[in-house]
Amino acid sequence: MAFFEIHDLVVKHKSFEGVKTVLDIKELKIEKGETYGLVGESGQGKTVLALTILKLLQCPPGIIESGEILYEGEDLLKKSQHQMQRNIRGQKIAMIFQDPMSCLNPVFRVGTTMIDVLKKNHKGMNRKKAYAEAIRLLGEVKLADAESIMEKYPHQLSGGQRQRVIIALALCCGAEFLIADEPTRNLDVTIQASILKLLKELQEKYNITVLFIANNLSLVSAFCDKVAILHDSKIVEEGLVEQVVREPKDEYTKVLLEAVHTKSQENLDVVDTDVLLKVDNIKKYFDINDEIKHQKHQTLKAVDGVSFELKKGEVLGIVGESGCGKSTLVNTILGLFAPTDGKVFFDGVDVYDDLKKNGNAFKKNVQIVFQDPFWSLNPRWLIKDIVAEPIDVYEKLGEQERLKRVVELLKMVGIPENACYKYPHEFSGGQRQRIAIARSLASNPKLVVLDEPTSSIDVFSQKQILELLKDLKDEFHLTNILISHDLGVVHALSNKIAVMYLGKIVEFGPADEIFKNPIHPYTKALFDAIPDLETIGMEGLKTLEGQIPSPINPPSGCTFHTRCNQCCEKCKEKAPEMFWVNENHYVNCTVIAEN
Amino acid sequence: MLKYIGKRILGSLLVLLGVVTITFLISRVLPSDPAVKWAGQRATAEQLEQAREELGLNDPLYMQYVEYIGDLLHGDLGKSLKTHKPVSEELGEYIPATLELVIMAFVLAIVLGIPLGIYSAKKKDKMLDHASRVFSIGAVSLPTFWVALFLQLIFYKTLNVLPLGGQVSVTATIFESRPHITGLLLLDCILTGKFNLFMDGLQHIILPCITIALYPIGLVSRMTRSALLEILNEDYIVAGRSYGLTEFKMLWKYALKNSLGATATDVALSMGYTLTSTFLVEAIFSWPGIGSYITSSITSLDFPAIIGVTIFGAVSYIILNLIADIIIATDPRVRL
Amino acid sequence: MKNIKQSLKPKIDSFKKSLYLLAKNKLSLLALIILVLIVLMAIFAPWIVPHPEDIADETHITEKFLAPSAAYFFGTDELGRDIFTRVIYGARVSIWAAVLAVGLALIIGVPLGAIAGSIGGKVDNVIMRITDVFLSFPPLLLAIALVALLGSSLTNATIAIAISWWPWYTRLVRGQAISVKERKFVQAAETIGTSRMKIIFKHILPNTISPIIVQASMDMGGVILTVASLSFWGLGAQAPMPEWGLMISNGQSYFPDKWWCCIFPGIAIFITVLCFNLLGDAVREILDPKTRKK
Repeated sequence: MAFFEIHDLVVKHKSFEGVKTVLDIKELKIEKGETYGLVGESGQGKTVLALTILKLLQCPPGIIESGEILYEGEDLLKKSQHQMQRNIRGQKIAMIFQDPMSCLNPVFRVGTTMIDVLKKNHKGMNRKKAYAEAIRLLGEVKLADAESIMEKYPHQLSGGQRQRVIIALALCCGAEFLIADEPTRNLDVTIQASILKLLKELQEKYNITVLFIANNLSLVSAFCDKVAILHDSKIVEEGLVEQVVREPKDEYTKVLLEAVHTKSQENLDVVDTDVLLKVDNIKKYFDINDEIKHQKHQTLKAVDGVSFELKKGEVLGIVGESGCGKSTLVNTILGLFAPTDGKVFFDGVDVYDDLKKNGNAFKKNVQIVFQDPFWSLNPRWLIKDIVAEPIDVYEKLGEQERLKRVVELLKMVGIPENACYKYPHEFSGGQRQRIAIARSLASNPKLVVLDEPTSSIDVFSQKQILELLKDLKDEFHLTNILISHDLGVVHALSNKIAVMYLGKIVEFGPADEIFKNPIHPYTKALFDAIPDLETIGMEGLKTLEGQIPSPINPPSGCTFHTRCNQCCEKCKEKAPEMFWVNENHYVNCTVIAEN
Repeated sequence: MLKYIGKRILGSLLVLLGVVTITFLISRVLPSDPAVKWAGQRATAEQLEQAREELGLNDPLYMQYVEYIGDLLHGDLGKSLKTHKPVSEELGEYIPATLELVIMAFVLAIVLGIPLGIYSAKKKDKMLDHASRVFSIGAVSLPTFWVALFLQLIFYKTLNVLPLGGQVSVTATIFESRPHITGLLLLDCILTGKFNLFMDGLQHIILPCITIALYPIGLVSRMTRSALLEILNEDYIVAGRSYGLTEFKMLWKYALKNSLGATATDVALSMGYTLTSTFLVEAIFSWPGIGSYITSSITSLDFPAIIGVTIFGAVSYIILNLIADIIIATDPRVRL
Repeated sequence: MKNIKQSLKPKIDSFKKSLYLLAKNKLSLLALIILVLIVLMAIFAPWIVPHPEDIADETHITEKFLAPSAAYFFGTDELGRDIFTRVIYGARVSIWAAVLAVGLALIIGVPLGAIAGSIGGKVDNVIMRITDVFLSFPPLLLAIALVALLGSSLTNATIAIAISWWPWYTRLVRGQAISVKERKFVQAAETIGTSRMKIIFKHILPNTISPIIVQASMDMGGVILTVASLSFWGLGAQAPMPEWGLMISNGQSYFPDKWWCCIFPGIAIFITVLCFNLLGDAVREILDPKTRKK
């Protein structure tokens, strides 16, 4: 008998469409002390499983039809809610949730919640002892200054700190079995690596068994011993991590693996050498006005002096963690935000000048494809009207002509013409993204911005969309700016890369060069923090310590110096100057420049 | 925090100015001649002219506006067309009785409405939840004036256990004279130890109080229920459960504090409804409050009095909302 | 034809979904059925009431104050008119007035809210400050003041209610518009270069419709109550109009001896308002994306 077992578990979900099976697991066994990874895309029933184990699934609409969940031989499904609450939850099995913001109660201080949980799970523990224990646990999860963290409300903590608090809460209970439901999902890559390391450390120290739920294989390959692949509510493949990664048997596993493989870039040489876009020292500051505290006028420096040139036919990949200003930069270039300072030239024309003089006429040339195809199409419009929106603005076409154009565009992206009279919700994520791409091409733009074009769609479609984007780029002679946190996607599409940190470009150059040989310490750290399939186990995963500073009060000198392992005295005082490694490649780093 | 309150008070004053402007426009620009009302239908042209002069109607509109604001700042709401007495003075006489009724009704609404809402949320989709939902939806669907009549039918006409109307019976005041300290009868009776008069007053207040409280009880319990249910579905509640915290604690400590803001807003809102329904109910129970005052003013088309009551209502409503906002601001999320 | 069918499909699906959710809650379904009956009665009142002539000033001195009986289900009033007839007719008056008041308030409130929420900045500030001022009158009180000055009539009462009611819609639509504005399709439209007015009225407004419908349906009950209250006070419908509030007000003088004059119109108000409220609750639950997902 294994430590934890599931047999023939069937969970269904009742809705107006009828009853749907959301989980159908024949068998799952986890030994004591093991780290077991469960991988599947969203909507495959991963969270349902986690909730079912703790008997927290809402029924109805959920129906647990059959099966047993054995924990040390006891069937959890047979226990009453009261027994679960008294003896199992917290004390035996604890859970770490996806979104650390929404699972801490916003109106209670961290300390209040921790002390409550401690007092419940340790009989006879008084307030004082609980307080001391909470401080100790916050230390365990490596939160500096535990006393002040205790006094803080969740919204005053950063994402990484919150997730550490959540882990501390799970530890509070002294559980032997931990369910981690995508614990790093909304975190930045550099933070993600440090959270994973912390989990691993604690797991070994306290001898905890972990069920690790993730949506991508690379995380699991770094973190787990065994892995199961969940697809269409069933486990399609199971085995040791190495075995599954090296010799996948199931088709779905192969697709998943392909999605995380960093694809190297073939021939993307640019023949055309005219400069299409010239960004000259763009700055975008936002005024922060705190309504309630009524603080002094503050400015958030979202983009702080960015310059680069982009030639016709090139693809520029912008990478950086969330909050580094990449979206603001793009929106400013597109003319959606008025810049605080600086100029943008498009085909030699001053964009902001042109916007003032000729209204929106410039916007015909630049289009954008957004990350989330569910919200980028108006749910109340017919597809034909969505795709024709740019046409309506810039050309006046008769209904017949207009429809013809729409059908052409749809055909180009591989959507059948009968889609015209349907609504967006009738299409899958990948199809919607195709429709969004069709729309972005309707006005014959020269520059198309791709804002995380594949990160919200299923892995099956991701690859196809990438192929489509490549084809269209050649067909329409497009120039692209690609924003993505997925280095694989960036690598596959772009031939130039800009790495951003706190509103500034820290490294800029040809994609191949940077991928092979990153120079700036931040670029190195960023690349190292991303788990890939080559390295199995945690050793290869390097972490970047420290929090990302606030762009309201960026650090003096080089903004990266607070987290840089090569930092010298000079970095703290003086902002680095551009250092050209070769004629196409520059970094902003004092240390590199001096050596 | 203090700065926020200061800012909200400033905002409320601005809103108040807007309110006053609207009432001014209503009373001056709408097609009706106050002078006629002032001097009476049969007044001669001369008398009318005199009335105009007296009311300042011959000045240009902006002068009238400035004067109007100035008067208001001195607490001058104009003179009643009927009694020719200052409206503010008359309001002063009627306000305490209304206040007493509203406060009593509100205590009832909070004491009954909030627990009912909590209980209903806790027992979602059980019999008790259905019963309490039907009750609260029923309560907000009843016309107050009709409930008043209905209660009179049962408790006065049929059972004859409670008085038909009034604040206190004449016979009771013969033996013990009405005390005047705060103006709130029941409170004054307690303060002066006039027990019999207190009991008499209590009997009188029961029916109007229940009538008025019905609506806010329904509203508050409905809103509390839905706010709680929303919160009980939040991730942090599921998380709390996963740590093994008891349902009791989840509900009474965790969820309730989160719903405080929403509940405060709803209480303030329903108080506004209550204030106006009070007016109707007072007239039926011949309760000597603002409601009776405005009812008689409406019958005699006594505009300054009507406008005076409107301003009074708006001011009390603004103050209530201000209090609700301050309660919401204690939520750490807002304090940010 | 095929195209039309296709374009209707999602609407039919969503209608089916709504019916499913509604049918789950038996009480709301009952409310819907009763409401449909009431509306039908209101529409066909002239043909179904036993004494259509009694809606006016008819007097039958010999038959005044008859208690409820088989001949007069709800009894007769001080002029000998059949109260049953008048109560049925009252539905026509009340529902029509409520529809008008809510409709008028929507016409004023919704575009203002959409503009305020979509444009933001100064425009938003000005519109919302005005809204705040109107919202700071306790409900009904502004309507009372307005009617008192405009002159009492059902039309004026309806207008007055609309004037004191629109700010609620402005506030609601503004909040919705702000959240819809954040959706990417609005940003996409901005990048495309679509004009601002088109963005507001074609992109943002259609996506705020559901909560507007919910609010409006929940408000119907409240507005019917308000109309009745104003009439009860003599500020709304005038005699001899068969309006429920007015009937109760008339009957009040003979209350509690001739209780039927007051009780039946009251029950009519109660049932109608109750059904609207129950239905409003159900509609809110149906359109709430949180419950809808499940």
